[in-house]
Amino acid sequence: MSETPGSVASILQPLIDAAGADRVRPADPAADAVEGVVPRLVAAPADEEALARVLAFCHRHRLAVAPRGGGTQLELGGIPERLDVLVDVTPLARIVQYEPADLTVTVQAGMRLGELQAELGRRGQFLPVDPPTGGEATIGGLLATAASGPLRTGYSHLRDRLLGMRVVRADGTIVRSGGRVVKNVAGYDMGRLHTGALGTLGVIVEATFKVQPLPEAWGCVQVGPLAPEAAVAPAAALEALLAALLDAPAQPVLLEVLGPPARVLVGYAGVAAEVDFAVAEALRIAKKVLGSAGQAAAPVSWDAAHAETLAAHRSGDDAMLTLRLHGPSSQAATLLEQVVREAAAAGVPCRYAAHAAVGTLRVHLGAAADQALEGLVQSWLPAVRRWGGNLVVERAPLPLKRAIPVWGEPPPALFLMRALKEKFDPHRILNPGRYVGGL
Amino acid sequence: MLPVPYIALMAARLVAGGRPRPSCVVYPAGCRMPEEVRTPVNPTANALSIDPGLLSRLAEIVGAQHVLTGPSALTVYEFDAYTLERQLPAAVVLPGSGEEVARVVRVLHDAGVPFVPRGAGTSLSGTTVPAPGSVVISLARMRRILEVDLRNRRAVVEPGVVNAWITRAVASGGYLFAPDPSSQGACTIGGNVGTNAGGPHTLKYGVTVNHILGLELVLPDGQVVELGGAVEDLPGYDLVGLVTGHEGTLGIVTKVIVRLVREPESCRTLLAVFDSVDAATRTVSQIIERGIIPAALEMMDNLVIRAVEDAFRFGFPTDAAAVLIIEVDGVNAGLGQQAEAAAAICRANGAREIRAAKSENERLRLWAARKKAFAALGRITSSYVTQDGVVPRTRLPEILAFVAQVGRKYGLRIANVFHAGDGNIHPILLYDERNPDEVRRVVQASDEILNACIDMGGSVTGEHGVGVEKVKHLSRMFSPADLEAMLDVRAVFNPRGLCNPGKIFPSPGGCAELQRPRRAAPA
Repeated sequence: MSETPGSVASILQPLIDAAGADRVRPADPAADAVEGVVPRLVAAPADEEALARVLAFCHRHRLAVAPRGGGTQLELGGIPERLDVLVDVTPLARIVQYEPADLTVTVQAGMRLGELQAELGRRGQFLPVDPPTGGEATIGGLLATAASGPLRTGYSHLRDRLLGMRVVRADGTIVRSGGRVVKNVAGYDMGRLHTGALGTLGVIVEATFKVQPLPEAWGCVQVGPLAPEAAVAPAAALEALLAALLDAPAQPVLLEVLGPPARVLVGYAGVAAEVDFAVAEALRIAKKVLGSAGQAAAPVSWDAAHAETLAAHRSGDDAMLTLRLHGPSSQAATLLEQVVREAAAAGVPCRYAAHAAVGTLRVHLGAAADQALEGLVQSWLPAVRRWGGNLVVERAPLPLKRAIPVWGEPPPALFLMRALKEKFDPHRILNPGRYVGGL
Repeated sequence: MLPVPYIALMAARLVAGGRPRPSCVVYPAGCRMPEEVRTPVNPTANALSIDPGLLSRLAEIVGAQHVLTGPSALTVYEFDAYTLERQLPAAVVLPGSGEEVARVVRVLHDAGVPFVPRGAGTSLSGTTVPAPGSVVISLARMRRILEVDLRNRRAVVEPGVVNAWITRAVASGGYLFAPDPSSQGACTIGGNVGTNAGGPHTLKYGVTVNHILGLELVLPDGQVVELGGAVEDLPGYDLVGLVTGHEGTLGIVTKVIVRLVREPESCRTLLAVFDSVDAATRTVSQIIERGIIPAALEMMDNLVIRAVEDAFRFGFPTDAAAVLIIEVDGVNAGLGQQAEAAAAICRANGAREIRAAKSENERLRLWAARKKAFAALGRITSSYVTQDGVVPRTRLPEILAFVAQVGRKYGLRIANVFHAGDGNIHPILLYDERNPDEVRRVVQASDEILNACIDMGGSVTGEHGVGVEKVKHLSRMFSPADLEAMLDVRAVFNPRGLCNPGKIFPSPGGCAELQRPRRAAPA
């Protein structure tokens, strides 16, 4: 039995009972809306148990819930079907256990990535995830959106570092899976199920990760501008360069194609001797593959290059529509060429940043008519589908979002996803309508 | 929780000459038998108890020569490397394609007959032990490598492909498939996906799930579904991550898209010799703490060293308390520094000697000795049980001291050869299976060791899986609510419970079948 839409009073007191008076407040339309949908209330429970009580209440009364961490990716996904309670997870922000000698850390989901890195850094370690959204993102948010950054190239995805998780189910039950050790196959890997699920199967409250020692040295080489007269490098030349860098003995931890102007950044990490060798090799490869005609390849500061990469991936005021194209690494250069060519033909400003090794291209399209933007999305979806890939719209004006497939083409396993959703959230209270297939 | 009925029943069975009857293995004294008491299992009647009409439908799908019935044909499928439990299946089918697997499953599903997928049967936890009245679906015939794409670092393979064949197929291009369980010369990729297999190189490279891009899965009702794909980070629930490690309980994998890794330019392999297990385990902890991530960091204790030396004559020092095999890999330019850093830590902890493998041949022999250590133990014992516990690395000295203490307490020889870098121990309890008292003590000792792992914040299984062996331990690691969430997943995929029943989770009513132990040692 749902409450009267719009009524705050009927649900305020029970939520206060669940979370505490200073933990529940009416929503602020300016600050608390999710893709234009304003919740009735915002609850910021202080701990797991309080969050569980909040969810239990919402489940019983079929109130729609959206979890929020740092709010850095709230634009991702479809427009919420309904939203009653926004659950702010940020009060759950402590490190539960950290054992540097075990290379494991257990952290609550509301902790900001930046704060976690600072703590790990004090012991010469780090969590090798560098989302463009930066240090404000929370661990729970990063997991729920399966976020990643350029370092994914060399350090695997965050999901590959996940050792264990605690989740509050839609009905308020707290469950855990996995553990706190780096090898563990006891039971199903439920943590992987919740990673990237946008909170639709449960609210992540705690996670344990395998951390990494900070390398002794970092190094980077910039190759380019690769085509000073054009916005994108000729696909054949770019692909030859990428293939050669990836096949080299020195494996990059970062391999990015940014533009315009088209340039490649390739980064390395390890002991100093390793990095020096890798940088020298990258310079040699660039010269060999591209020839000397106008191709500049030079070492650049890692920090500057990394920052530049993150900035290129971030959407700014200039980006009306930001999307990710997922394809095979070998097609990245060709897809980029197509993207730039078609955007130019449609008169749409375009800038791009690609994790070339992974095959993920991020495209920011500037102000243009909805029709033009829609046309481009509709052209690029089959282009990536042809290679077994897909696309995800990360940000778009709301009317446009209703017209385009923000999660690309639904996967063949959608029927299984629906069945899991029905099992784990039978009242459809967790982010209804925001995820793949409208789940 | 008391394991008393389990042990009592084990002993009783042996005393009584092993007459099979249903038993409650999981629960403490006072456990109620389930409402529907299972009918006693008669192994010789199994083959006849399957409906001949069903058998002929299966034969129509896979060909009559690929349907096995009769005790002599089925006996090979009666157990796996776990050996402590066995059950003849009703039949075995060997499909030749994913389509045949799907049709076979559909037929069995519609007939309500349980089925058990099987690769090479190398499971150390009984994952492929047939349930009574079940049909084993062997993937052994499906062993083609379908596609290799080095540029995109992936290969598409059938589930019966042997793990080592993948690396062999891509090695000349300078790539490899990283997960390298010790059984990799025999185990199949389908099985690796089933158990989320590990191996010595997981320390640096990760476990199987970190190397799987996509799967084709036959669901327990015969539907075929693609999970993941050839491209990274596709949107949607991570069903590849969920299914990897499912131990055959969510469906049957009929195709695997594996991720390949660039072969490192070079490596350095060291053998460090210690006069105490303690010094060796402290070294392991410190190596990790100092920020060195070796490609592999393995430990062998004296019992194993002597067995391996006996078998392989590698030149292991047979009076050493423990040896560490440390391998660092990567670009040649950085290896000297890393190897020296590791060696320095060994010396600081009193390593008596540090040897470096001087050639690829020497390195391969060193690894062969490590990977065949289990087999080498067969020279000094008629039977053994391999445990698979995990503790945080920092607790390694403690758990190994505890294992030694348990060995003394129960009068058992326990050998240790394991992935020290991961904290993943493999205490190998040696015993004579003809001695029922020794069998009883082995079970009790195993229990104590696994409980200690849990108490130290570890796990009861790092890579071998729960199978049947650790069903009872799962409830010590997870609460009923935790297990319910996992059972909810299983209910979605496997609602009738026909696919590999009795594995991982206590079955409804809570009892798993325990069959009589082996009568003879394996060859």
